[in-house]
Amino acid sequence: MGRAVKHVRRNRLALAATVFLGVMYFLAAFADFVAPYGESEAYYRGAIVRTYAPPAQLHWRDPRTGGFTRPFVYPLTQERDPSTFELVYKEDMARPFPVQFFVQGTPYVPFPLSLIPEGWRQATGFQPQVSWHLFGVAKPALVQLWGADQLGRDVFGRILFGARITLTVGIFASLLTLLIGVVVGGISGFYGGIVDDVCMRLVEILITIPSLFLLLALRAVFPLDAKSSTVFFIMILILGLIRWGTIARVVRGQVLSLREEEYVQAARGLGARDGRIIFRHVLPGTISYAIVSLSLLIPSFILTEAGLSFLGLGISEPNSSWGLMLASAQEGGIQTFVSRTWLLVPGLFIFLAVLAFNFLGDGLRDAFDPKARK
Amino acid sequence: MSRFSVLTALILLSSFAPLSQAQSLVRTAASGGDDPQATLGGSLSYGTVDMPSTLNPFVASSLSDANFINILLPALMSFNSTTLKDDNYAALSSTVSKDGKSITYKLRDGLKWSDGQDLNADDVIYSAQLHSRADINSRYASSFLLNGKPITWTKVDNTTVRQTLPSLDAVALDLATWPILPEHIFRPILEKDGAAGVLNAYSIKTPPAQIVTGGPFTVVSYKIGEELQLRKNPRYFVKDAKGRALPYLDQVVFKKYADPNALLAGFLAGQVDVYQPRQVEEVAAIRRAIDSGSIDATLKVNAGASGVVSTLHPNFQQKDPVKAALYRNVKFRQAISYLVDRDTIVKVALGGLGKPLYGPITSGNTRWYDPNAYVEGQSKFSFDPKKAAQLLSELGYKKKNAQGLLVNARGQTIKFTILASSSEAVQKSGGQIVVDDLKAAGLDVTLSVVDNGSVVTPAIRNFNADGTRNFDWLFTDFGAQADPPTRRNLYNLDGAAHIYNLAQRGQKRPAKVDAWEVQLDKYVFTGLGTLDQDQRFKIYSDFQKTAAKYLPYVYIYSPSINVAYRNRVQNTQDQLNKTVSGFQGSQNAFMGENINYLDTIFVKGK
Repeated sequence: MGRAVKHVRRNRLALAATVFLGVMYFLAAFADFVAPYGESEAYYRGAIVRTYAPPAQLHWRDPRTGGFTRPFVYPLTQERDPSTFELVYKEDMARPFPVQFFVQGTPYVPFPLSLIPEGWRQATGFQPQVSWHLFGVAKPALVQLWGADQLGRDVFGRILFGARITLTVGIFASLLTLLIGVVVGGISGFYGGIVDDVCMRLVEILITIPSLFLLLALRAVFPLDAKSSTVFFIMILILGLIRWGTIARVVRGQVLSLREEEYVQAARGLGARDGRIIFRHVLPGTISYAIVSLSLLIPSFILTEAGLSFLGLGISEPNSSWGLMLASAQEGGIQTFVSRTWLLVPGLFIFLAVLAFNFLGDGLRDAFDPKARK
Repeated sequence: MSRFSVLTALILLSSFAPLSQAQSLVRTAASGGDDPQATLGGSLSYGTVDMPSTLNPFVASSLSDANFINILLPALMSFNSTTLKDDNYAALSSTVSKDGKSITYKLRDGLKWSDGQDLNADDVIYSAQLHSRADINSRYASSFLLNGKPITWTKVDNTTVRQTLPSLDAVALDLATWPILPEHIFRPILEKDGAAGVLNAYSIKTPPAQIVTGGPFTVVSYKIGEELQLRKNPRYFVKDAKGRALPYLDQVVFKKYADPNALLAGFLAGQVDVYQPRQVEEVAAIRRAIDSGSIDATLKVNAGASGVVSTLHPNFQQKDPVKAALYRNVKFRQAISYLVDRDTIVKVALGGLGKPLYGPITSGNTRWYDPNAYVEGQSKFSFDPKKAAQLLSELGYKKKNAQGLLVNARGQTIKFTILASSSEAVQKSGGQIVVDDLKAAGLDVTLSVVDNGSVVTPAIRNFNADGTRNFDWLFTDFGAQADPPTRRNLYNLDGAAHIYNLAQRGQKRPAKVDAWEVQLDKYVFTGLGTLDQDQRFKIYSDFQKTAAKYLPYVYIYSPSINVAYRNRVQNTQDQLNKTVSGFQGSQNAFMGENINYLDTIFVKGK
């Protein structure tokens, strides 16, 4: 393990990927603190209207003296141009609003405590709230770093909150899939015969199930008032339970050859039980494939989650996830590419996350690959 | 022959000549037939996402199929989108009997099919028979039934037919807009191959030369799923005010596009001549292209008001009896209406392309919409959270609990789910706004975005064993009919679209109905039961008052109609009249709201 870590450290890409992922997970965990506004804090009505507002313009120069000063923003006024029908935002230069750090803002339940389910917290009345945010500006100005969506919600904040869903779902679903696939493949390959036949036929049946229709049908089975997050997690669970088939097949193939290795025969000769042989001696030989699979599965689940959001099967409003934000961007039509490009940032993050997992997987595979040992 | 008899013969002969011309339908200025600049010739390109899957009127399964067919085949009457009435088309005149139960149609003389054969009463009667046959199961079969009883068509003479109704119907003329087919083509097919042969005729694989038409155009070619080319029918019976044979256009081409975005791109690239933008993003894109000069086109926003009614409605047959009782309480529905911020929804979710709506008929229905029917506080409940709070407190929900939710004396909260369809962007964004306001008022509401086909439709149609259904509230948009404005299946107690309180299959009405529901049902029938226009207006005005007061559906908005077309296209609806109607003429429905008469459309220049 230590050797693997050293190996990864030397591989620049894998290192960069790990750092990026680490930063993303950290930001996702502390999203409430880092983001200046809440996940569903919307500004579409009243004194502050920010429908499709562009990214905040940070000013560094004092307009009077021309010198550098702490960054500030101006509040925006919104109107729809009657002839071009586009939303026009103008800065109201009357008064600058400097960006402040460690400000009081929308209250939230802080990170480790927010893991306790909402229901339990409400039942016991345990609602510890804090209001510290990393940065912010005084109302009526808003500092929406990456613009706002149709309901005036901060895209930057929603990316961070969305990372929670996207990154955790990716990891857990992939681990589940991998676990089942490796175990079934291992058992099937090791024993051969009837066990192998039954397992592989089961795998073939699973592979033929069209997952999309299965999910649509499943959603219809759920009660109509089921919470979207419950539905979503069960969907992912189901997907995880279908996808282990390909992994099982490959692992089985590998185990078929690995079980003939000498050390396996030695272990058998020493009287080791089957279970111990499989898990202690045979399966570790498949670790290279397992890691590659994992690094491919995680992005696959991230993209699946994005796809489910397009169908309304994934996380739904007002919660956010990268897939959901992309689905909303798509509904904006051509204008999303022409005048509202900031709505595509979730796509950039999906791309970077998928890339990062791939590089990390490559690095780990090189690290664990016995043949690459120097 | 003597000169005198030759002269007499000439005079007699010349007096017959105008007679044969008098039987054409003449398009007047109001329909674009009197434009001095009108030129014959030219081609119109139209883009569509749905190409026809068949040209057979019996088989046509979708609205777009039917619309294509209406361009090719004639009918006795045709709907006029401006007056919202049915006009004579192949019929020269229609005479209603005193008791209103039979209508005699005089066909025009000298009508011909595109292959030169006569178009007369035999074709009309034979088509009526085909449409009514059970083994053919025509799409238009419902035009031959009135309240379940059959309507009969009989031949009076070679150019006269009679429609006999089981009872008086104010919109009976609308029941004469079904397509007429050539008997000389279909009788041999029926006799040789039976009903199956009839259903297979006029398919998309039929060679175009075999598709005999009587409308303004005939088929030149159809590259299945790609492009449909139509050519002017030289034997079309409609003329312009100068007596020239219509249509002005030589050719119409329908091009397929994969989705609305591609279609917009096609319009912006100049590949299609006409486009109907619905979202403000599309409007902005077209405006940008026009301003930058990349297309030479006209864009008119809010050119007319649509008839589409967008609503939020409850399920009276909710499984939970407490919820069902609450939804059936008119004060609760009025409170919900007080909590829907229509102006913000129009502004944010529609980008301003719409109007708030408070009743079952939109202002686009210029014939029947009665603005006086909507009185604030009685039949109009616009956004006012304070009034909503008052109504809810009258229902027993006075205090708020620790989580900020309204509770009644027994500590129960108002908790429900609103379903929105995942393919409807406005339902999703507008739904968020509604949910925000409901939550602020203290209701525990969640918005559930689900797939339409697999969740919403079963939720509406499937009953539990005890006759209840499972959904709470639902966003639904309803298309509109110009006449009758009550739409035949929406406010009837046994209507298939009566989805807030649905009758089970085989039942004549839902299990439990209130007096006002019976009243609405009555208006549907009485509105059709008299030919007196003033009386009908009064009935429909009362209908609007009742529906807007009792809110079976909480009416939210109606979208606006926006039109865009390249400047070479002339005689579009907005050019002929000030406003564009939101109701489709059956003849040209496919072309979108802005083309009322395809036969008087002409193109300038290239």
